[in-house]
Amino acid sequence: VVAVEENIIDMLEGSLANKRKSQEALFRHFYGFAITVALRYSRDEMDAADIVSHAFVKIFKSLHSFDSSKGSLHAWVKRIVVNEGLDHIKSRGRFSENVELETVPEPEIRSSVIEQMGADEIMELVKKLPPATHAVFVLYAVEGYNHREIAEKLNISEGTSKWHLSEARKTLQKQLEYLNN
Amino acid sequence: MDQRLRYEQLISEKLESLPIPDMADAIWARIEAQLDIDLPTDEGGGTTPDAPSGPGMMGWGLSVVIIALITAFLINKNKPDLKDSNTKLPATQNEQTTPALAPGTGPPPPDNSRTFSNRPRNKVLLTRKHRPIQRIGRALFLPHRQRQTAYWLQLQVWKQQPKQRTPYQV
Repeated sequence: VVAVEENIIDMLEGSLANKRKSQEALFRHFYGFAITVALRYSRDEMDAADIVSHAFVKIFKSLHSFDSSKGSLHAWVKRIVVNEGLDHIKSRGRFSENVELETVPEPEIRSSVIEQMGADEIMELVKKLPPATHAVFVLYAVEGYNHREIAEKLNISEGTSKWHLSEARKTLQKQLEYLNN
Repeated sequence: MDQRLRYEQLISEKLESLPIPDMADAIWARIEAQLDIDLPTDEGGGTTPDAPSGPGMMGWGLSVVIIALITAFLINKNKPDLKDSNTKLPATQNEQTTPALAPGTGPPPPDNSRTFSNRPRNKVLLTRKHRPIQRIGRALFLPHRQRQTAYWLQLQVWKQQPKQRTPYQV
């Protein structure tokens, strides 16, 4: 672990000195993690590649602003990739609809159905959601953000965030029922 | 407090194990190209060399050779033209371009009483070889000048003839 940390520190210092070899090593170190995050916000691998490439250009350009006392490098990289993914989703559809929903109904989805599905099958279902609903569902169900944080990130109200989560749940329930039958 | 439903937690866990596409090289190439624009290095562009490729060098070399050949052709083409125009120039042109400065008929000795600007100036004698532009100009206007000379000669002959009065002139 110490050796890996020292290696990351070397990559960070080299990247700060604008050395391409160090930047490439840092990119390859985080590639698997970053592309997995990006895939959640994209429709296909090419979209994910766009998200990762834009995110890493931002990472290298703003690496001097990373403060290790405020959080880990992983969390910092993830935040930039997520923000880039949200920008990508925003470019696909409008986010301006302001639908208020205070009480979120919870549709019944059997966990056994999800357990039998593969990751790529689940991702196919999530990708079919409308862009804003897709973004809210991933942020809430996968990344673990609450509605207040989602509202800030997407510049929508908390009620709208809840409405999108409800829509996502209803749509997923219908699709899973269809697949189960 | 995690308010996620059980199936949502399962989805989250499943999505962590998404297959990773093998696109690292392609994505790095795009990042590097963008960094070369936004954050250029002193090394000169990272792992990809900046030196021009083989076809590029050949193109430059070919351009230089073509320009050199065209220049040499134009120089060689102009040389015989100058010689030809020298031989074709008529004698009359020679008289006009080179002022007669026979021995003993040259300009008077300098007069110190005159100012420099008032002093009559002798024409600069240049051989044809040293006046290519004037020579070409004269060659261009030669027919017109020949016609002028002919008219002048006719006028002189007419002046020499005795004037004949017409009957109605007093």
